Amino acid sequence: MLTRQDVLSTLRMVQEENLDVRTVTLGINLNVCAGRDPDALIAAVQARIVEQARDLVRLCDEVAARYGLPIVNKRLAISPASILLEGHTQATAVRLAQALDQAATDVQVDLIGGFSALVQKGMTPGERVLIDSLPEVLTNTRRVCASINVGTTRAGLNVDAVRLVAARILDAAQASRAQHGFASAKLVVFANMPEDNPFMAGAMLGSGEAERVINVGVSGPGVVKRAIDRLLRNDPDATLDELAEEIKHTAFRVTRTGELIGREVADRLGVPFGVVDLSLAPTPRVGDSVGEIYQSLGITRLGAPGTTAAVMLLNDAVKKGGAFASSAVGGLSGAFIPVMEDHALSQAVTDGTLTIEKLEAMTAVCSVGLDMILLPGDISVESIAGLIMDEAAIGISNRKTTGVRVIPVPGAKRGDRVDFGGLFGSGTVTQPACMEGGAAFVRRGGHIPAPIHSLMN
Amino acid sequence: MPDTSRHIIAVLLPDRVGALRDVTATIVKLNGNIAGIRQSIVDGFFSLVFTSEHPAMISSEQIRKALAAQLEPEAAIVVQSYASRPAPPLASGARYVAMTRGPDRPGTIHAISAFFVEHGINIEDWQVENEGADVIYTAQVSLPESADFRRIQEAFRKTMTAHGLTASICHENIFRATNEIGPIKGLLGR
Repeated sequence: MLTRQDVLSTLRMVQEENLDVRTVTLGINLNVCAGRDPDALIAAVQARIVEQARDLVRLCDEVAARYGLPIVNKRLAISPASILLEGHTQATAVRLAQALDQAATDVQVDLIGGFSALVQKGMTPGERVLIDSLPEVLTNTRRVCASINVGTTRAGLNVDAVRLVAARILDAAQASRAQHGFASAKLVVFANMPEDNPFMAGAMLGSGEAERVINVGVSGPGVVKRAIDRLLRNDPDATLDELAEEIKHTAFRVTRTGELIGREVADRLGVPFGVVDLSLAPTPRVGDSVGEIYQSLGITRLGAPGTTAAVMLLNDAVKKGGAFASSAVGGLSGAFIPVMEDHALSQAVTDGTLTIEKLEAMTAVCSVGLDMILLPGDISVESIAGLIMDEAAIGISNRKTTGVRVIPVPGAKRGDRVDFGGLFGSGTVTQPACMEGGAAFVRRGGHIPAPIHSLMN
Repeated sequence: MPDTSRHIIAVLLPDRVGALRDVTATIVKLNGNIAGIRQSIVDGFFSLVFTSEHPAMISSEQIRKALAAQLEPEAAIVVQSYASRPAPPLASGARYVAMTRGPDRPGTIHAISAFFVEHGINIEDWQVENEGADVIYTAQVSLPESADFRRIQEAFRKTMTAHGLTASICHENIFRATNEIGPIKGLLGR
């Protein structure tokens, strides 16, 4: 029997603490659409997406109403588009992206991910076509998100691919100069890219996945923060292990709501349920911030010594709570630190307390990487490549996912403000403490071998 | 003649330690077996409702007298016999939790229950508690299979807003998911 406390605590999470399901993402394998005729390819892709996803938004809305729990975003993740582009030209790549954009619009989803290529060891012609098309694709579509995997713990790091992608990031920023380089915000460069990630910009349907699958990304930074605040009100001397325990319990409850929603949407849609991604995903709203959690834990100035430890505590507690809550945990599952999308992190960068170097340290113990960071427009390709390589090195060496989503803002200098609006948020242009000096290393190209601990068999 | 008799029994008295023990001792003496039971404290009053099965020769009046002899004089006791368990008012239906919160005003409970009746909703459990200046009503209800839930949900919010209450109604599984440990898969289809 449900108690009043059961009911009220759940309602409080939804109504007062911004608990929601951040995304229900339908994965669709498009490989069946492959072919040499561009017109047939485009038509097949568009028809398949509309056929497979036409009921997604309606069913999500029904399930959200049934449980009184908002589903903020409904999204699609396709199998890597580079597979479809083998034997095709860059013009076809752009047409394919526009077809994806139109299909996403037709089925009323927010974003479609999977304009992706996995090039950690080498690059096929189709993957090269996809990467070269990114500036035009990301500038001329609204809903298409792209991701490139440049390294894995098993394969090492493809530095040639890193250099190429870094150049295209700058090109994309220039091509979307009128939008402050916004096109780059829809591209993430990964190491150890997960194949079941429901969050954008890195969502895609990996080759080991089912033909269609529902993956869910939960949210809940506001819920975690309020749980910490409540505990500290009752026990101002609570220790860090007690706080970790509180976070763990809260993560358990948050995860369960995600799995419930995901399984019911999957059942109604007649597709398998995949995973719940436990990541605490912030939004620019006050009360929905991961940075505020660190502040509640006692890091009053984000970036101060202790910040990295706070990130580790949060990330670990979230994973432990989530792992007990569900046997279907996947994706990235940790604490995101997307600077522009989190008002507290963004403010800390503006204040100068949170630097790229500190963010990099934080990514060694959290789920993702350098995310939604504004850079000066005149940053060099080699410096962007160096940032990607550093971040990939952390992921490859620590057997974890890391990513880089940076936005070089054309014409902007350190300290300038940029506002993308909506969930993408606003922020201040920042830069590495040392902007140049690694170019000779980056230009050598080639491949950084896999670390010794990749030899596991 | 059936060889057992069934009774539904209600007992009200000012709460004290041992009230339930005294009631159940009486039932045991009358060779009774308690089937369903619900006990709570309502504003300081011990409130007990239960059903019991006895040998056929035990009448409702005998049970009432035995309980009256065991309990204090101010105890209110009602005993009624029945032949079989009544059919539920809704043959089947999904279970939801409705909650309202707002200032304590006369007529609120009537407004809520009238809304439920109007929409064919059956109240299965009902709790009322104070939180600060507000009164919180929590009801577990079942809706007819044919009900248009989203329309009812919207109407409930609007109707309760007119009474100065914030209100929500959602499927019970969201509360089970966040408060129970078992696999989520087991909740689906309920």
